[in-house]
Amino acid sequence: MDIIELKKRLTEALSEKILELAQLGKGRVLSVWVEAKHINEVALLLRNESYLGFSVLENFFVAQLDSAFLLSYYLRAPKTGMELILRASIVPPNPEGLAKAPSIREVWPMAEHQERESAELFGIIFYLGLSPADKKEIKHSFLPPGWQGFPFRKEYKFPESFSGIQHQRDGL
Amino acid sequence: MESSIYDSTLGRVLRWARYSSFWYISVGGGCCADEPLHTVGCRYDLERFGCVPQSEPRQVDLLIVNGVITYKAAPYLRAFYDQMLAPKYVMSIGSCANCGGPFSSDISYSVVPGINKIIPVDVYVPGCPPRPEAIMNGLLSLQEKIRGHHRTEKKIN
Repeated sequence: MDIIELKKRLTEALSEKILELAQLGKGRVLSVWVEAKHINEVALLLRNESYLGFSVLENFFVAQLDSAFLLSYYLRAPKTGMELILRASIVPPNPEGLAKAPSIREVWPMAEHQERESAELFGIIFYLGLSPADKKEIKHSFLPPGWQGFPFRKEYKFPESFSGIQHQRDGL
Repeated sequence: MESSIYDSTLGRVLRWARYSSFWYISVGGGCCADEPLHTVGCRYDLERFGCVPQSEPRQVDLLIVNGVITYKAAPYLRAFYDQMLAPKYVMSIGSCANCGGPFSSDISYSVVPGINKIIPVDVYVPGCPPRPEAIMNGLLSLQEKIRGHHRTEKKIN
């Protein structure tokens, strides 16, 4: 299966949900933008349909573009060797607030670790099911307990001190 | 010898025993953790100064801290230091442990800018990472400090 055929099949299968379908650079990788609320349906379809068969999630990352968070899922179909990048964006309600995105860990269980890391460092709640639960805090497993703020956000300011240790070099 | 007080022969014997049998433990937080291993290896042979690596903090006199210490690791390092029995000495190896180094306070949010904010330090060995000769030099200056020569405290002018 080549990239033109994959493009055709994706357009047939996901016609309404696709925001943008484009080739990434000069490589043979397609990038599909969908709305964040549809990401679970699209993920299930990409994994389960035998003619697509994207059963492996190779990588998942979050990047911040201005105020929006870009979620990128790097997929691979082992049988055909095709690659695909699934993308969605979410916007937090205010610069300090928590953003909410649907979790895909039921489709690709490998995403759980990456989601936990992104949740802690970017301040995103990944929820299961249709609507976000009333979750106000994120459990810390990378940062020390009691840490305030989300360090990977662009507007993050360094703490002046943490647990009694001044965050400044002596003699400066 | 200006600031030292002359104590009896027993004190000199005790100090001689302490500085010529450093049992140490190394806390590695980064790539500098390789350097004490080279220093104790066959080429530089730290054992001729009486240094023996140990695996329990309760049995050591010297704590060697090398590499990045983050805010998450800081309470564990403090607990580690508190387990050691007095008299205890601390040597800080590498720029990260000395002052934050390349992860200084205006670049990194998570690295403690200098382990002297957590535990008292006797000798700093600069370098990124320091060579084994530099670590041996740090050890010799710590020996001199215990002996009462205070090479490390000598004023430059």
